Parts: sequence; C-alpha cells; structure tokens
Amino acid sequence: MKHSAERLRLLFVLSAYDLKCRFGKSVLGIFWAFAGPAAAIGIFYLVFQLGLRASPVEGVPYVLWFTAAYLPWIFFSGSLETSGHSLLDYRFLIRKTAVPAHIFPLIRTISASLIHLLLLFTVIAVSGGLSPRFFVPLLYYYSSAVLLTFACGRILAVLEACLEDLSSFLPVFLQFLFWTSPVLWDDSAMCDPGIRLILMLNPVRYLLKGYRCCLLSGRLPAPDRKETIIFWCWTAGLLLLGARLMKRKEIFLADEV
Amino acid sequence: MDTDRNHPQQEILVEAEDLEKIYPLFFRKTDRIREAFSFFGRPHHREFRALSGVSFRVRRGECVGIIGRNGAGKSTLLKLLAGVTGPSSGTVRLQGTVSSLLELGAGFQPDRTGRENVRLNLALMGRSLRETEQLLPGILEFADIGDFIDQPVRNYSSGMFVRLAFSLAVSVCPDVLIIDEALTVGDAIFQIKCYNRIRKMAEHAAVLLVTHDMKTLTSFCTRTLLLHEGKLLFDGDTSRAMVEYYRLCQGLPHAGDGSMRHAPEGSILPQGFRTPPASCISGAQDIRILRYWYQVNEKPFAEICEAGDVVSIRLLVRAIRPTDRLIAGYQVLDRCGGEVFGETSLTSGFSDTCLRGDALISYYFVWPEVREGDYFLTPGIGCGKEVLKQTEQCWLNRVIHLVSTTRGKLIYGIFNVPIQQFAIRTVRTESEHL
Repeated sequence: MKHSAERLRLLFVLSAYDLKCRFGKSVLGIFWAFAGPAAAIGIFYLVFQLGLRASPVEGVPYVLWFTAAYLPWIFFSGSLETSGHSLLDYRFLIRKTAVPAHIFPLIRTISASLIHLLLLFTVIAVSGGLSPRFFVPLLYYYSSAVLLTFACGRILAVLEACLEDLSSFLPVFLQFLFWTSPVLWDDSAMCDPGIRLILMLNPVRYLLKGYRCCLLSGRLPAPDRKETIIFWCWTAGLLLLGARLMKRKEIFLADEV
Repeated sequence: MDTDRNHPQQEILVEAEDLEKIYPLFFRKTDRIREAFSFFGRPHHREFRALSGVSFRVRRGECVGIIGRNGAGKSTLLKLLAGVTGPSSGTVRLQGTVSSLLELGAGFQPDRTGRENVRLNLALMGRSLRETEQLLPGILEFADIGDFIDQPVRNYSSGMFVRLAFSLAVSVCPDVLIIDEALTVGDAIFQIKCYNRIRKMAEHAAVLLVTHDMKTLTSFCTRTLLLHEGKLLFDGDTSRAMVEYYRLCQGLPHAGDGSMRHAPEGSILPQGFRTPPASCISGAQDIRILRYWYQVNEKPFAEICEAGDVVSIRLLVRAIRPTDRLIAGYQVLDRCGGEVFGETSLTSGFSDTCLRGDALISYYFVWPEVREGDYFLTPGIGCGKEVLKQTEQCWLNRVIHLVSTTRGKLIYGIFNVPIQQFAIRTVRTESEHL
C-alpha cells in the first residue's frame, strides 16, 4: 500500500518535471505543442483541399477526415520518439539515484498523452463539440492508443539503450508507417485484396479508424471485430515482450546508459 | 563480530547478504540485441564478477570506511547499497532515508539550473513541496555557491558541483549516507566543512565512505571493509585493515592474524633479513648493504607506526674498501617525495666510524608526531669527514614503506610540537582602552 502510494507520487513528480522540461525551455512554452500540428493541418488544408481539390471522403470534407486521424498519429509517433529516448535522456538519474529505470518510458508516455488530450479537447472545441454518444468510445480509443504507445515505447527504450543505431532508424520506420497507414489517403480505395490484408495487420490503422469514427460523429464506420482482435493481439504481445525485456535488462541499465 | 560489541544497542541500518554482481561484457554491439531477444535466454557475453559473497552489517552510529585497490569492487558495492543497480544475487536491506554521492555527483541534469535540480532530487527523495522550500535555504547556505544556483549545472566548476551535491545529500538528514570519493575535488575549506558535517551525522546515522585518503580513513572510520577482487577480505578495525591493504599493495600474501616471524636476537646470520631490490640501490658501492631488516616496536617489517614508536634498522654491510670515516643514517620522505626528516650517526654525535670487512650496523630512532599518511624511509651509508661533503656509498632509496597513524589526533602541519608549559592567570586591567 505504502509502496504503490510512493510509486504514484514518483510518477506525478517525474511527469510534471518532464512536461516542464519540454515546454519550460522555450519562451512560448506550451504554444509549440499546438503550433506544430496546427501548421501541418493548415498546410494539408491548403495543398489538398484548396490546391488539389481533394474530394470529400465518404461525404466528409477532406481536412476534417485528415485531422481526425492526424491527431492520434502525431501522438503515437511523437511519443515513440520521446519514450524511445527516455532512458538515455534520464541517464543522469538512472546512474546516480535509486529511481527504477522502468518508470521513464512510462513517464514519457504519460506526458505525451496529456498533451494529446489537450489537443483533442481543443480540436473538439473548435469543431463544435462531440456528440455524447461517442464520449465513451473516444475514451476507449484514447486508452487503447496510450496502451499501444506505451508498449512500443518501452521496447524501443530498452533497445535504444543497448543499440544507439535505433534512434536513427526510428524516424525511417515512422515514415514508412505513416505512408502505409491511412492518415493522408483512404486505403479503402486499394483494390488488391492481398495488400489490403497486409495493411489491415497494422495496429495503428485501428486507432485511426476509431478516432475518425468518434470525432466525425459516426459518419465513418467503426473498426470491425477482426480489426479489434488484430489490434489487441499486437498490444498484448508488445506489452508482454516489453515487460520481459525490461525485467531482463533493468539491473544492467544503470551501467549501460 | 567487533561491531556488535561496539554498538550492541543500535539498530542495524544496512544489511548486505551474500552480495554478488556480475556484469555482462559484450564484445560486439549486436550481441546485446541478440541476447535481449534470445528466446531461451542464451547468453552472448562473457561474465565479469565484480563482487561475490559480500556480507556485512552497519549499525546506526557507525562510520565505515571501504578501501581496496582500483577495480576491487568498491564503487560497485556502493552502487548496490544506493539502489542504483541491483545485485545479481543476494540481498541489500536498508532502513530509513538513504542519501548517496556516487562518483562525483548526484542526479543532476546539466541543462537545468542548480535550484531546479535540487528541487527535483528532493522530490524524488520523497520531500513535499513545502518541505523542499524549507530545506532550500539551508542547502544554499551550506553549498555557498552564490548566484550560480540559478545557472545551468553544466556551467559549474567541479568544486561547485560537488558542493551542491553534498549539501543536498546531507540536507535530508539521511539515516544512511553513502559517499564515494566525491569530496576530493572540493577545496580544503569545504572539505573540512564536509567532514565536520559527516562527523556530526555519524553520531546518529550510518555512514559508508570510500576513500583512498588514509588520513580521512583513520580520523573518521572506526571500522573498515577491505575489498580485493570483488571479495570482502577484511572487516574490522581500521588500522588492521590498513595493514592488510598495504600488504596487498606490496603483493604480499594475506596474513590474516598479522603475526610475523621474529628475527633471532643478536644473530650474526641474516635470518629474516631482506635483500634490497637492485632498483632502489644507489651510491659508489665501495661499501655495500647486502641485507636489511627493520622493526617497529618489536614487530619486524611492520607497515604501521605512530608517534613514540621505536623504529630499529639493521644493515648487514660489506666494506670492499675499509674506511675510518663511516657515516650511517636515514631519511624519511613523504608520498610526494618531500624530505620530512632524517639524521646521521655523525651529526647525532656517535664516534663509531671504523669499518672493516662484513659488519652489522644497527640504529634506532623514535617516530615523531608527523601528519598521518604514507612515508618512505631510505637507510643509507656514506663516508667522509662532514655530512655535507660525504661520498654516498650505498643508499636503499625508499625501501621501507610506513604508514603513520595518529589515532584521530589532528596534526596541525607537517608535525606537532607539544606545548611545554601552559597557564591561565587572572589579571586586573586598569586601563579601559585595553
């Protein structure tokens, strides 16, 4: 009981510190958390909707359709980069204090998910609210996104502590994932059934679809049962693998980072 | 168990049981990944045993020194005690608040300011915001680094860094304080301040101190652990630990009980005498020192001495060319090669100066009250009418290594000279301007 209370306190202290470090350095601070995504959405609006006159997807204006998936995407990719680097960034504590190393990927996921939540609220507020029917589903997809992000981030963190190369490889991998996930383009247009099957194996696709369904108030379909099973297999598998890796490596991390 | 006798009433704060730490040594970068993913846990590394079978307890009120040569496992042991890394097997149990200063520093992030780093570390040590605000002024005052507290830590000098780290570590009044050679970078005034603080804390906390400075060790630690190649070789009285340590440094076998064979009294034969290593001999060599022997207070080849001890030296010499003007003497140098004291038979007023063939020269002197530390004694023989115009015949440079202890008494310079007379008398002063 005392142990878990202490742990919660530690999580709180370190998350607050992490957020402060991220935004405390610059003059404009938290503004930059909004500026990046806003600029990206603005550019895509100009290029695709006004410039290329992209047609609405299943009756939804392209910019709305894109924004609904872009939010979870930047959460996932951004959090992967920060938690992947967490053990290296916090080596000053890992090497000198008794704070357990496994907490740092979690801290990075927590701080990223708080920023994501803030962005989500802003977008909902700007776009005119969320229908109450989709409140609980959105919460579910949000939690699913956090879990998947944490699972991937923890594995990456351990591996990056062992092999620096991965921090260079990660952006390449994220680029690949960005273009194979239906963020910018609608993959239902893909005709080849083989490729469609491969694309369906991507757990991120499930999140994008879920967010789109909720944020666009059901104008797009929710993920089906098959997609749900695929997503949870990935998440459970990655969580278990991460726990195993961390357990095996944790006592050496103080000497390796 | 010496320690149980010394502090039977005090609770045990540190308990290490059969500690073992094995580090994996990887020879290729990819081996780490291969091992992390290997399904059956097949190893892809060689093992390095940094510590094995280390058990000890430390009670409240004890200040325990940890010594050993480089690579003996001292830092690893402290890391395990501080909880920075886990043991491969065995257990560490600690009671109460633990504060540590490992290898020059605390958990400071170089880009943040000193104040922010102190706040973060206090929070991690379980202090609330209000407690932090209460502790901060005391920390700043003790560290005494002025406005630098609001500068990024990367701009600090190593002295400032350690000042802040030490102030932080002691500010929380820890029950267990772990310090790894950190204080050596601070200036002398700060070191004294720190050691006074440690001394005060040691009364009600358990302090573990890694140091190579024998002065610190003898003045603080009543008990010392000696580590060698990852094993706990000795646990007990500091001066005995130091003897064992110097035996290790000289490559001698571990004696355990410290008993040595005695040279037969008055014997001409050089039994128990040592042959001086050729590398230390200098001089004209018309007279040679074939063997040498020494003792401190009846203890042959002792390594430790203190003020008042009788140091006797015997030299078995051979005069290739006979002489009527023999001068024998000794010189004592400190660790840095500085000449501290010495004397010759001539200037001490002895008139025995004839030497023919083989002879045994013996003399003794009383060890003065010098600063604690390492000393090297050079016995030597020369010939001439005056000391300054003598011919150096045979010197055994620094052949005898002695560690001088003072049992905690402070030496105020190179040596102490006792005050011969002392009185306080009341006087009436007429003048108010006095």
